[in-house]
This record gives sequence, C-alpha cells and structure tokens, in this order.
Amino acid sequence: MGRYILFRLVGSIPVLMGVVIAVFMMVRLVPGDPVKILTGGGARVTQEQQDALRRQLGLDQPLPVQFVSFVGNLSRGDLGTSYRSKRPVSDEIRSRIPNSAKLAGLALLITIVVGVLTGVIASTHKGSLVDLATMFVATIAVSVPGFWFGLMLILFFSVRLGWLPVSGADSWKNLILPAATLGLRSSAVLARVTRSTMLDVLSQDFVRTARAKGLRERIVIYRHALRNALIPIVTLVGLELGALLTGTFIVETVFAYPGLGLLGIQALQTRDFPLIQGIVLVTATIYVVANLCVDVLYGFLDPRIRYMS
Amino acid sequence: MSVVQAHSSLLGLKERESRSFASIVRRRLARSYHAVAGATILGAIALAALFAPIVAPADPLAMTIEDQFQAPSGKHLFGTDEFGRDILTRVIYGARYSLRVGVLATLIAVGGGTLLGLTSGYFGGWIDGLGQKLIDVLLAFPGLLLALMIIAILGTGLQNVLLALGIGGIPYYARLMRGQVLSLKEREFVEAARVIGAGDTRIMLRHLFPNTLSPLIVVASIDLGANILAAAALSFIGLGAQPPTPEWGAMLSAGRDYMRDQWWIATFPGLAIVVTVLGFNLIGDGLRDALDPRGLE
Repeated sequence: MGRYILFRLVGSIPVLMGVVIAVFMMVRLVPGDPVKILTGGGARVTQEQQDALRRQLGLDQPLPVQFVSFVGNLSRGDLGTSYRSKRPVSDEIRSRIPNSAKLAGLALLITIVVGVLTGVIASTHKGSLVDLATMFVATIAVSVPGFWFGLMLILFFSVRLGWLPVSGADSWKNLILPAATLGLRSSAVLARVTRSTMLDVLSQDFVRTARAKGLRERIVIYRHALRNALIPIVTLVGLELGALLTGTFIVETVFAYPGLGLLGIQALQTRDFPLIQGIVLVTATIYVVANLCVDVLYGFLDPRIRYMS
Repeated sequence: MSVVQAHSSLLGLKERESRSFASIVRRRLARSYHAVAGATILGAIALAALFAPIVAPADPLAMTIEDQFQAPSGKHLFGTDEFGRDILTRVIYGARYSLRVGVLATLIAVGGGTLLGLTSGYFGGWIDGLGQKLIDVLLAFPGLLLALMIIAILGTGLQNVLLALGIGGIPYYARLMRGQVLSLKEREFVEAARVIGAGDTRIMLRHLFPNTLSPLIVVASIDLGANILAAAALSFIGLGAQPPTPEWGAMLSAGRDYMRDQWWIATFPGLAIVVTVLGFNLIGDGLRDALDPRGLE
C-alpha cells in the first residue's frame, strides 16, 4: 500500500508542474499590454509609472527569466499583490478558504448521503413507484440550473417563510441554502449511477448466496452489495468534486457568500490578474490533491488496483 | 426457461441478426419514451427559436413603460418585466442564444477533442506521451475552471463564453476518444484496411472514427445541455451576455431584484432553461440505451 501511495504521489508532480506553467502562461496570453490592462487602459497613468510597473512585475525580462522568478516567488508562498485591494493575494485567498471549505464540505456530505441513499433505495425497489419517482426527480434535478434553484430557495425559505438568511456568512444557517443548491445536481447524478451500479451488483451470484444463507436483507444490501458497488460510486464522487469546487464560484455569487469562488468571480469581473492567477492555482491544486485521495481510496477498496501499478 | 420462451428468444435472435445496427438503433429510439419526449421538446424549442420573429407576440427589445410589471395574463402570457417588455417574447428569442451557444461550444469541444484523441491514440509513442501530458494538465482544472481561465484571457461576453466552454471541453473528449482508439486500433478491420493500402488519415477518419461515434454521441448530447446550463450561469453572474440581450441567464440576473413581488420575471426564463436542458438529457438517456451494444448479440 505504501508503494502504491508513493507511486500516485510521484505521478501527480508533473501534473502540478503543468498547472503552474499553464497558470503562468494564462496571464501572458492575454491580448494586449498587461500593464495597460492592469492600469485599466493606461489613460490616467503616465508612461513613467507604466514603465515602473513593468519593471516591478518583471515584464521587461525574457519569458524564461519571468518564469523562474514566478516559481521562486511561488515556493515562498508569494502569489503577488491584488491589483484592486493592494493586499497580498495569499492573504486574500487564505481568509476565504475556510468559508469555501465549509460550503463545499457540506455539499459533498449532502451529495454522498442523499445520492447513495436514494440510489440504493431506488435499486432495491426497482420498478416501484418509489423508484420511478426518485429517478424522475433526479432527471429533472440534473437539468435545473444551480443558480436558478438557489434563487427559488431564497424566494421560498428566506423571503416568504423568513426561516433562513438571504446572504452572507454570519452563522451556520447561512450554509444550508448554498450547500443544498450546490449539492443538488451532484446528488442527482450520484443517485442515478448508484442505482444502475447496485442493479448490476444485486443480480450477481454472491448476493443470492448471502440471501440463501439467511442474512438479513439490510446486511445483504449495505454490507455485501453496496461495498461491491463502491468503485464506480467513488469514481463519480471524484469527478463531481470538480463540479462542486467550481460550482462554488456560481453558488457563492448567488448567495453573496464570502468564499474563494465569489472572490474569483469578482477578480474576473475586474480583471485582477494576480488574484485570478492565485485562485486558479489554489483551486487546481486542491482538485489534484483531492483526486490523489480518490486514487488512494481505490487502493483500499480494491486490492487489484494496488497490485496492478 | 420454458420451451416457448426459449423458442421465442431464439426467434428474436434470428430476427435481430438480419437487421443492421443503425436500424436497430432507430427502432429502439422510436420506442424509447425518453428519446421521443426529448426530441419533441427540443423540436418545439428549435422551431420557436428559428421562427422567433413570426411566433413571438412582440419585439424582444421594445420598452413600453406603461406596461411595466404586468402579471401573466391573456395579453402577456408570461407577464412583462421592469421595462414593460413581453417576457414570452424574450424567452422565445432567448432560445436562439442558448441553442447557439450549446451547439457551437459542443462542436468545438467534440472537434478539438476528436482530433487530439484520435491522433494521440493512433500514433502512440512520443506524440501520445505529449498529448497525454497536455490532457492531464488541462483536466487538473476541473469543471468550469478552464472555461473561466479562458474568459480571463479573452474577456467577457457571450461569444467568449461560447469559445471558453468549447475549448474547456476539449480535454474530456480527447480522453474519451483516445481510450476508444487504443482498443480499436488493434482490431482486424484496421489491419485489413492497412493491408489494402489505406493511409493513416484514411484509417483514422474512415475506419476508426465511425466506430467511436456511439459513446461520442451520448456524451455530446448530455454535454449540449450542460453547456447551455453553464452559459446561462456565466451570463447570470455577468461574464456572458449583457442586458438588454434576451438571453435566459442575463434575464434572470436582471429579474432577481424584482422576484420578491414579480415572481414571473425570474421564473419563466429559469423554466425555459430547465425544459431545454431536460430535452437534451432525455435524448441523451434515450441514445445511451439505444446505442448500448449489450442486447445486440
């Protein structure tokens, strides 16, 4: 197992290096003079000020030199300074991460609990009204835009009933609606996949054997069948992690929830490139690490995967 | 299994053998509730979008302040917005933007991904190694992140959102395509083509590509809906279409300030998105079942 984890760990290093290169190139690919963009068209800034900024950003240096200093700064945790707030990008990001982590974490929990449970229930009641109803709801839920669902939740629970706050992040109550919005689509996707995987597993011989030797149905389903359906389920959760991570960009904007995603959208709207760069880098890194965890989880779930690599 | 059952299943087998794959798929699609429902929904929406100037009751941009905030009625089926514009008209015109973004973004993703995956998987060696590294890195930017990066480079606007979603989808198709090609290129029919003197391009386009179409079509039909959702979301948060464009996401964004008292402004554009995306998802489900090779033998 140790070797397997090490193997996966080493495998993700080139990807992270590629991510750094891609993020570095992103800003350099912006058409036009970056100094003009940073100074909002450059109309109100003198030529001297522009040249000074160019030197300060290292933009007068050749690309490889710029890259070396970019990586050097990165290794010291220096992501540059936000153009709008004039604060270090790393501070801006660090102050937002806990909020986004709470939101994405709760959404992930909702996804797993709701998705797996409804999928299992639908599969064990195949063809029944329960099955048809949950799969119908799941099909609709996959088609609902998250931002619109969020608006409808605000309209109902906050405006009409007054139960939950409309926006902000002052208490745990602020988390409920955004997390439900964020988890809706992933739950539906997971429910569908869990159902079809469970249907495959439930028709296999070992399930019949377990039933034949007199095990209770709950044990057959949750201990024998579900465990063997976990690989596709975990794969999908890994894929949905990406959707949850970037879903925060939209959902946080809808609920004016002060997380990394809202910061990112604001940075995009104001073309605050140092901040965009930092947020993209952090989000991608989180995703790569999360996928690493999923890979390691595979090794635990299925010994064959461990030995193959 | 009873004798009768065994007999009829044997007959079924014989019957199937005489039909081509395409005719089986057509038959299955026509019998699938999902596919028929999805096609009906999308057919209606596409027609409405195509003939918007004829179908729509009003001008999507014409403002009539005295008609402001009219609730749904016989005159304005979906009501009017803060500028007195007819919402039904704007929803109909909005279908043009959404369908266009969905279709073109998906075409860019499928085209680029196919090219990359096909060549990478077919040639193997260093080309594949390089292509795989590139795809691995691009896939490290999950979901919308790659599209957001491209918007950061190109700037905002619906046109750039379209490009961003299209380019952002390329790595997924490249991966899908490469996997298909890797397993297909060892098959006899490829060898046979090579023996009779077919070149690499011909083998890739005439022999490999058609055989990868089934999964490609299923993923693309689901993706069409996903791209429409994403484009509307990006317009909603201000990165895509700008007012007064009658794009569904932009309409929702403008309507959210009034949704407390004028529920119809934010409701109908949202429903339009749900129905359209549902149409694509239903077709995708139907296609997946119809193209499933299981049950064909």
